[in-house]
Amino acid sequence: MLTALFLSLADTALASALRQSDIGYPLVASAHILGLALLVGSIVTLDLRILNIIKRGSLSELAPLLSSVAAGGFMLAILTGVLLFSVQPAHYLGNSAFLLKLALISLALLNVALVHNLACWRAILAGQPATLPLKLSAFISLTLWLAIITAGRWIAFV
Amino acid sequence: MRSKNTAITVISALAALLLWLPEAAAHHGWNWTEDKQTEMTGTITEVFIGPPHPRLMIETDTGRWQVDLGNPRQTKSAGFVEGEAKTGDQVLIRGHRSANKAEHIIKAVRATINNKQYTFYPELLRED
Repeated sequence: MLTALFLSLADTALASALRQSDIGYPLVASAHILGLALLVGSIVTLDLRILNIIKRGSLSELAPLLSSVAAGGFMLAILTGVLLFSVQPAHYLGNSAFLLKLALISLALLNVALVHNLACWRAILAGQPATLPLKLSAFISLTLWLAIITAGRWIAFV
Repeated sequence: MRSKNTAITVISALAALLLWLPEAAAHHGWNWTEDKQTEMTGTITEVFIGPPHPRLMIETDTGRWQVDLGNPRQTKSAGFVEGEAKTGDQVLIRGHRSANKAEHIIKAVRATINNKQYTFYPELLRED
Protein backbone atom coordinates (compact mmCIF):
# COMPACT_ATOMS: atom_id res chain seq x y z
CA MET A 1 0.00 0.00 0.00
CA LEU A 2 2.87 2.31 0.90
CA THR A 3 4.48 1.35 -2.41
CA ALA A 4 1.29 2.31 -4.27
CA LEU A 5 1.33 5.67 -2.51
CA PHE A 6 4.98 6.22 -3.46
CA LEU A 7 4.34 5.22 -7.07
CA SER A 8 1.36 7.59 -7.32
CA LEU A 9 3.74 10.49 -6.62
CA ALA A 10 4.85 10.16 -10.24
CA ASP A 11 1.38 11.19 -11.41
CA THR A 12 1.29 14.48 -9.49
CA ALA A 13 1.39 17.80 -11.35
CA LEU A 14 4.57 18.73 -9.50
CA ALA A 15 6.41 15.58 -10.61
CA SER A 16 5.28 16.13 -14.17
CA ALA A 17 6.46 19.76 -14.09
CA LEU A 18 9.85 18.66 -12.71
CA ARG A 19 10.26 16.12 -15.51
CA GLN A 20 9.57 18.73 -18.17
CA SER A 21 11.24 21.82 -16.77
CA ASP A 22 14.83 22.60 -17.78
CA ILE A 23 15.68 24.33 -14.52
CA GLY A 24 13.32 22.76 -11.95
CA TYR A 25 15.26 19.59 -11.23
CA PRO A 26 18.73 21.18 -10.98
CA LEU A 27 17.29 23.86 -8.66
CA VAL A 28 15.60 21.30 -6.39
CA ALA A 29 18.77 19.18 -6.44
CA SER A 30 20.78 22.26 -5.37
CA ALA A 31 18.37 22.90 -2.48
CA HIS A 32 18.74 19.22 -1.52
CA ILE A 33 22.51 19.67 -1.33
CA LEU A 34 22.03 22.83 0.74
CA GLY A 35 19.88 20.78 3.14
CA LEU A 36 22.60 18.11 3.39
CA ALA A 37 25.28 20.74 3.97
CA LEU A 38 23.34 22.31 6.86
CA LEU A 39 22.40 18.91 8.28
CA VAL A 40 25.71 17.09 8.08
CA GLY A 41 27.87 20.18 8.65
CA SER A 42 26.22 20.87 11.98
CA ILE A 43 25.95 17.21 13.01
CA VAL A 44 29.62 16.50 12.33
CA THR A 45 30.61 19.63 14.28
CA LEU A 46 28.42 18.64 17.24
CA ASP A 47 29.53 14.99 17.20
CA LEU A 48 33.20 15.99 17.11
CA ARG A 49 32.60 18.42 19.98
CA ILE A 50 30.88 15.68 22.04
CA LEU A 51 33.76 13.30 21.24
CA ASN A 52 36.10 16.07 22.43
CA ILE A 53 38.01 16.06 19.12
CA ILE A 54 36.84 19.66 18.78
CA LYS A 55 37.55 21.29 22.15
CA ARG A 56 36.31 24.86 21.61
CA GLY A 57 32.89 26.18 22.67
CA SER A 58 30.58 25.06 25.44
CA LEU A 59 28.38 22.05 24.74
CA SER A 60 25.46 23.62 26.60
CA GLU A 61 25.37 26.35 23.92
CA LEU A 62 26.53 24.36 20.90
CA ALA A 63 24.22 21.33 21.39
CA PRO A 64 20.85 23.15 21.10
CA LEU A 65 22.13 25.48 18.34
CA LEU A 66 23.70 22.80 16.15
CA SER A 67 20.79 20.36 16.58
CA SER A 68 18.33 23.09 15.51
CA VAL A 69 20.39 23.85 12.39
CA ALA A 70 20.56 20.11 11.68
CA ALA A 71 16.78 19.79 12.09
CA GLY A 72 16.25 22.68 9.63
CA GLY A 73 18.66 21.10 7.15
CA PHE A 74 16.90 17.76 7.55
CA MET A 75 13.48 19.28 6.81
CA LEU A 76 14.84 20.93 3.66
CA ALA A 77 16.54 17.67 2.58
CA ILE A 78 13.37 15.60 3.13
CA LEU A 79 11.14 18.08 1.32
CA THR A 80 13.42 18.36 -1.71
CA GLY A 81 14.21 14.63 -1.52
CA VAL A 82 10.53 13.73 -1.94
CA LEU A 83 10.37 16.02 -4.99
CA LEU A 84 13.45 14.45 -6.58
CA PHE A 85 12.05 10.98 -5.82
CA SER A 86 8.67 11.85 -7.37
CA VAL A 87 10.25 12.23 -10.82
CA GLN A 88 10.62 8.43 -11.11
CA PRO A 89 9.55 6.58 -7.93
CA ALA A 90 9.54 3.08 -9.47
CA HIS A 91 13.14 3.52 -10.58
CA TYR A 92 14.33 4.56 -7.12
CA LEU A 93 12.33 1.86 -5.30
CA GLY A 94 14.27 -0.68 -7.36
CA ASN A 95 17.62 0.95 -6.57
CA SER A 96 19.50 -0.86 -3.78
CA ALA A 97 21.60 2.20 -2.85
CA PHE A 98 18.43 4.27 -2.41
CA LEU A 99 16.80 1.60 -0.20
CA LEU A 100 19.99 1.32 1.86
CA LYS A 101 20.00 5.11 2.25
CA LEU A 102 16.41 5.07 3.56
CA ALA A 103 17.21 2.28 6.04
CA LEU A 104 20.28 4.19 7.29
CA ILE A 105 18.24 7.41 7.66
CA SER A 106 15.72 5.49 9.80
CA LEU A 107 18.55 4.29 12.05
CA ALA A 108 20.00 7.80 12.29
CA LEU A 109 16.59 9.25 13.26
CA LEU A 110 16.17 6.50 15.85
CA ASN A 111 19.55 7.52 17.26
CA VAL A 112 18.39 11.17 17.42
CA ALA A 113 15.15 10.20 19.21
CA LEU A 114 17.04 8.02 21.69
CA VAL A 115 19.78 10.50 22.48
CA HIS A 116 17.41 13.41 23.05
CA ASN A 117 15.65 11.32 25.71
CA LEU A 118 18.80 10.28 27.54
CA ALA A 119 19.71 11.81 30.88
CA CYS A 120 23.20 12.57 29.55
CA TRP A 121 21.69 14.90 26.86
CA ARG A 122 19.93 16.92 29.58
CA ALA A 123 23.21 16.85 31.51
CA ILE A 124 25.22 18.54 28.73
CA LEU A 125 22.46 21.14 28.29
CA ALA A 126 22.92 21.86 32.01
CA GLY A 127 26.65 22.33 31.46
CA GLN A 128 27.88 18.86 32.50
CA PRO A 129 30.59 17.09 30.43
CA ALA A 130 29.60 14.43 27.86
CA THR A 131 29.42 10.90 29.27
CA LEU A 132 30.24 7.59 27.57
CA PRO A 133 26.71 6.76 26.27
CA LEU A 134 26.53 10.20 24.65
CA LYS A 135 29.97 9.78 23.08
CA LEU A 136 28.97 6.39 21.77
CA SER A 137 25.82 7.88 20.26
CA ALA A 138 27.88 10.71 18.69
CA PHE A 139 30.19 8.15 17.10
CA ILE A 140 27.21 6.18 15.74
CA SER A 141 25.69 9.42 14.40
CA LEU A 142 28.93 10.39 12.65
CA THR A 143 29.22 6.95 11.03
CA LEU A 144 25.56 6.83 9.95
CA TRP A 145 25.39 10.30 8.37
CA LEU A 146 28.60 9.79 6.42
CA ALA A 147 27.26 6.41 5.23
CA ILE A 148 23.98 8.09 4.23
CA ILE A 149 25.83 10.62 2.05
CA THR A 150 27.81 7.82 0.43
CA ALA A 151 24.73 5.65 -0.19
CA GLY A 152 22.93 8.71 -1.61
CA ARG A 153 25.72 9.45 -4.07
CA TRP A 154 25.81 5.76 -5.01
CA ILE A 155 22.23 5.89 -6.31
CA ALA A 156 23.54 7.09 -9.68
CA PHE A 157 26.10 4.30 -9.90
CA VAL A 158 24.12 1.06 -9.44
CA MET B 1 51.90 24.10 14.92
CA ARG B 2 54.59 23.16 12.40
CA SER B 3 53.51 19.49 12.34
CA LYS B 4 49.88 20.58 11.84
CA ASN B 5 50.90 22.70 8.84
CA THR B 6 52.92 19.80 7.44
CA ALA B 7 49.88 17.52 7.78
CA ILE B 8 47.68 20.04 5.98
CA THR B 9 50.25 20.39 3.18
CA VAL B 10 50.53 16.61 2.71
CA ILE B 11 46.75 16.15 2.66
CA SER B 12 46.32 19.00 0.13
CA ALA B 13 49.04 17.53 -2.10
CA LEU B 14 47.35 14.09 -2.03
CA ALA B 15 43.98 15.67 -2.77
CA ALA B 16 45.49 17.54 -5.74
CA LEU B 17 46.97 14.27 -7.05
CA LEU B 18 43.52 12.66 -6.90
CA LEU B 19 42.33 15.24 -9.44
CA TRP B 20 44.53 13.67 -12.08
CA LEU B 21 43.30 10.12 -11.55
CA PRO B 22 41.22 8.75 -14.44
CA GLU B 23 37.53 9.50 -14.31
CA ALA B 24 35.39 6.80 -12.68
CA ALA B 25 32.72 4.98 -14.66
CA ALA B 26 29.25 6.50 -14.54
CA HIS B 27 26.83 7.30 -17.32
CA HIS B 28 28.66 10.59 -17.69
CA GLY B 29 31.49 10.82 -20.19
CA TRP B 30 32.55 8.08 -22.56
CA ASN B 31 35.56 6.38 -21.01
CA TRP B 32 33.42 3.61 -19.51
CA THR B 33 32.30 2.63 -23.01
CA GLU B 34 33.90 0.75 -25.89
CA ASP B 35 35.70 2.90 -28.45
CA LYS B 36 33.88 1.34 -31.36
CA GLN B 37 30.44 2.54 -32.39
CA THR B 38 27.96 -0.31 -32.85
CA GLU B 39 24.32 -0.76 -33.72
CA MET B 40 21.65 -2.65 -31.84
CA THR B 41 17.97 -3.20 -32.49
CA GLY B 42 15.32 -3.95 -29.92
CA THR B 43 11.80 -3.44 -28.72
CA ILE B 44 11.19 -0.59 -26.30
CA THR B 45 9.91 -1.76 -22.91
CA GLU B 46 10.28 1.54 -21.04
CA VAL B 47 10.73 5.19 -21.98
CA PHE B 48 11.95 7.71 -19.44
CA ILE B 49 12.34 11.32 -20.59
CA GLY B 50 13.35 13.56 -17.70
CA PRO B 51 16.06 14.39 -15.21
CA PRO B 52 18.54 13.30 -14.05
CA HIS B 53 19.08 11.09 -17.12
CA PRO B 54 16.70 10.12 -19.95
CA ARG B 55 16.85 6.44 -20.92
CA LEU B 56 15.15 3.61 -22.73
CA MET B 57 14.91 0.00 -21.67
CA ILE B 58 14.89 -2.35 -24.65
CA GLU B 59 14.51 -6.09 -25.20
CA THR B 60 17.00 -7.49 -27.73
CA ASP B 61 18.29 -10.86 -28.96
CA THR B 62 20.98 -10.58 -26.31
CA GLY B 63 18.56 -9.72 -23.51
CA ARG B 64 17.44 -6.59 -21.76
CA TRP B 65 19.54 -3.47 -22.35
CA GLN B 66 19.51 0.00 -20.82
CA VAL B 67 19.98 2.75 -23.39
CA ASP B 68 21.39 5.98 -21.95
CA LEU B 69 20.26 8.93 -24.08
CA GLY B 70 21.77 12.44 -23.92
CA ASN B 71 21.25 14.58 -20.84
CA PRO B 72 17.77 16.20 -20.64
CA ARG B 73 18.82 19.25 -22.68
CA GLN B 74 20.61 17.21 -25.38
CA THR B 75 17.70 14.78 -25.56
CA LYS B 76 15.25 17.63 -26.09
CA SER B 77 17.40 19.27 -28.79
CA ALA B 78 17.56 15.91 -30.56
CA GLY B 79 13.78 16.21 -30.86
CA PHE B 80 13.14 13.27 -28.57
CA VAL B 81 10.30 14.47 -26.38
CA GLU B 82 7.28 12.87 -24.67
CA GLY B 83 5.15 11.01 -27.22
CA GLU B 84 7.93 10.36 -29.77
CA ALA B 85 8.26 6.71 -28.70
CA LYS B 86 6.14 4.22 -26.81
CA THR B 87 6.44 0.75 -25.34
CA GLY B 88 6.44 -1.84 -28.12
CA ASP B 89 8.11 0.40 -30.74
CA GLN B 90 11.13 -0.97 -32.61
CA VAL B 91 14.31 1.02 -32.13
CA LEU B 92 17.71 1.03 -33.82
CA ILE B 93 20.42 2.35 -31.52
CA ARG B 94 23.78 3.56 -32.78
CA GLY B 95 26.20 4.11 -29.92
CA HIS B 96 28.83 2.75 -27.62
CA ARG B 97 28.36 -0.30 -25.41
CA SER B 98 29.73 -0.47 -21.90
CA ALA B 99 33.31 -1.76 -21.94
CA ASN B 100 32.20 -4.11 -19.17
CA LYS B 101 30.62 -7.04 -21.05
CA ALA B 102 28.56 -8.02 -18.01
CA GLU B 103 26.87 -4.63 -18.01
CA HIS B 104 24.03 -4.32 -20.52
CA ILE B 105 24.21 -0.57 -21.02
CA ILE B 106 24.65 1.24 -24.33
CA LYS B 107 25.17 4.98 -24.58
CA ALA B 108 23.25 6.18 -27.62
CA VAL B 109 24.69 8.61 -30.14
CA ARG B 110 21.59 8.23 -32.30
CA ALA B 111 18.28 6.41 -32.03
CA THR B 112 16.03 5.58 -34.98
CA ILE B 113 12.36 4.98 -34.17
CA ASN B 114 9.55 4.73 -36.74
CA ASN B 115 11.98 5.89 -39.47
CA LYS B 116 12.74 9.05 -37.53
CA GLN B 117 16.27 9.78 -36.37
CA TYR B 118 17.14 11.39 -33.06
CA THR B 119 20.81 12.35 -32.84
CA PHE B 120 21.91 13.12 -29.30
CA TYR B 121 25.61 13.69 -30.10
CA PRO B 122 25.82 14.93 -33.75
CA GLU B 123 29.56 15.62 -33.43
CA LEU B 124 30.27 12.02 -32.39
CA LEU B 125 28.24 10.29 -35.11
CA ARG B 126 30.42 8.05 -37.29
CA GLU B 127 29.02 6.96 -40.62
CA ASP B 128 30.44 3.73 -42.01
